[in-house]
Amino acid sequence: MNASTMIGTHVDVRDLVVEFGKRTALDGVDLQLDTGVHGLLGPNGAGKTTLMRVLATVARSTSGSVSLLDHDLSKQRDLRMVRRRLGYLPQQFGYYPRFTVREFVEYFAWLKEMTPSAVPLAVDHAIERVGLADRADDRLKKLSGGMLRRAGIAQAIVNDPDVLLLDEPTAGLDPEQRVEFRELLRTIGVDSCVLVATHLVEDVAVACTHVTVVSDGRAVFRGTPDDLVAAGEDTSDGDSPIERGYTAAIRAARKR
Amino acid sequence: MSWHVTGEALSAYASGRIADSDAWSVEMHLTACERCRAALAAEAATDVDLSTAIRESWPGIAANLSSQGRVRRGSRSRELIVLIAAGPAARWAWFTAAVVVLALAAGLGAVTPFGRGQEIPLLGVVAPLLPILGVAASYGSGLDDAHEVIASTPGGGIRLLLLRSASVLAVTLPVGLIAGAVTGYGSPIPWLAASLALILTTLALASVTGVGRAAAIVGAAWVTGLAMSAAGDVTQAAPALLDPDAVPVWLLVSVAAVAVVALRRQAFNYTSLPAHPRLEN
Ligand SMILES: Nc1ncnc2c1ncn2[C@@H]1O[C@H](COP(=O)(O)OP(=O)(O)OP(=O)(O)O)[C@@H](O)[C@H]1O
Ligand SMILES: [Mg+2]
Ligand SMILES: [Zn+2]
Repeated sequence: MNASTMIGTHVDVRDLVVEFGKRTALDGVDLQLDTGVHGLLGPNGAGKTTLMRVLATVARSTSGSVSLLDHDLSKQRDLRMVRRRLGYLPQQFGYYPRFTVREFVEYFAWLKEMTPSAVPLAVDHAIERVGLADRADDRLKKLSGGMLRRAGIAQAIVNDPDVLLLDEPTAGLDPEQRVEFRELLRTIGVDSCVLVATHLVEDVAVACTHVTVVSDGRAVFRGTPDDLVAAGEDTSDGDSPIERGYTAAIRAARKR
Repeated sequence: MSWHVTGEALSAYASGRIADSDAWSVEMHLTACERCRAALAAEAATDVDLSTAIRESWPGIAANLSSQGRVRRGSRSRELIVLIAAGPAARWAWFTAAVVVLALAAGLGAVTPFGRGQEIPLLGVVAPLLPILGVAASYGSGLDDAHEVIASTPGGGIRLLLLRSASVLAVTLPVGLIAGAVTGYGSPIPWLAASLALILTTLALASVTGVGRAAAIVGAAWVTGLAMSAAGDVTQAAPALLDPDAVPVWLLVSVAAVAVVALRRQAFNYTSLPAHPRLEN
């Protein structure tokens, strides 16, 4: 059930092109996303991170239009409002080794311009939701890789974002944490638009309501995880039904 | 806020018929939205059982609640502390380096004779330079470890840059003043004015080139200018740039730079990305 109503589309990308010099990282991507957990699959170099960075308002497009929460990103005036409603976990993110988990998350709560009185509780909520409550006062340099990743997720969700962008969030998480993380995604996806870039087809099968497969800068498949399974019924490459679907989608795109 | 909890979801929430995961979302929304809190209160008021239940259980709940989370109380001063403390400029190593450099400059300047009866105004040369380097280090060089996330936040643009610049000045200016006073350096007004002009010019230029490059350009221009003015007129007690007569010029430059920063403030929306220059198209 969808607990809330949102006017319009959370993410609306039309004919997005991003070039780095002569290399075309994204080559005409169309994407419309609403509430729910959306998986973004694709091989190395497909353009997942580039798409995430454009949506995070960190990188700019070469051409095409991108609007988030009904605000056109090319309008500088709206940028600030959109950014307040964003959560972003980059594929690689730096942290401040001397900060405690709590200070780190709080830092981003302030950068996201949250109401001062709401900050303390929101910070504690976010830390609790990623299962780091017992390590909240530890310095980041003392955490394991997977715990750092979770601290990164906590900063991304601290402002209860309407659009949450997670680039490889499960990298380094142990199996138990991965299960809890998927549950977290599901709860956030109830009233927000969550986009998860990943290599782990399993994450998508379990946690996502929708899947987009990108290959060579193009969106080559859009549908539900079940649709992706169905796409792979004729292939035998891959260990699970959804992996077969993924392989089939990439192959079909390359043949074209 | 562009959306609100639906009436259907609110009544499900009020009567406890809602799924746990949805309750989470509703609660998060309620903490932020006055309108939906009011709607929920109205919803709950029509439910006699619920109203009584709330009235009776509230004292017990309130007794167990801390008024805020375990994070320090959320206030504007706390915000400033956290935002400034995250910058590399706030680190002790940088602070120590600034103190040592200024003290050395002041000390050396006081004991080293310069040409025909002059002294090198070393403190005056170095003091305006340090804040620029500090700002570059704390913002423009990609040294801020989390710049990728910061760039996606509304508070990560010009506001953070100004805050960090102010915090750098707050360190270097007093240290420079003390060092000058101890070593008997003359009036600090000329180098203070120059410091202000240089840091503001750096910010203005940064709206075009990014902070790192702006700091390098302004720093190089400052050193070159000083060398030229010192070489050009050896009869003066101090290089023209550090002369009291230059103060009004520095103030004019400062005003012009502030105007540029104000006009071009939107350019800072994207400039916190020095590690990916190609993306700043
Ligand atoms: N800053 C950059 N400068 C130049 N080229 C870039 C830059 N960022 C990405 N690219 C190129 O764009 C293409 C897409 O890269 P991207 O990082 O988006 O892929 P990805 O799908 O995230 O890959 P991975 O699965 O390895 O994370 C690649 O060919 C990459 O080399
Ligand atoms: Mg990537
Ligand atoms: Zn509301």
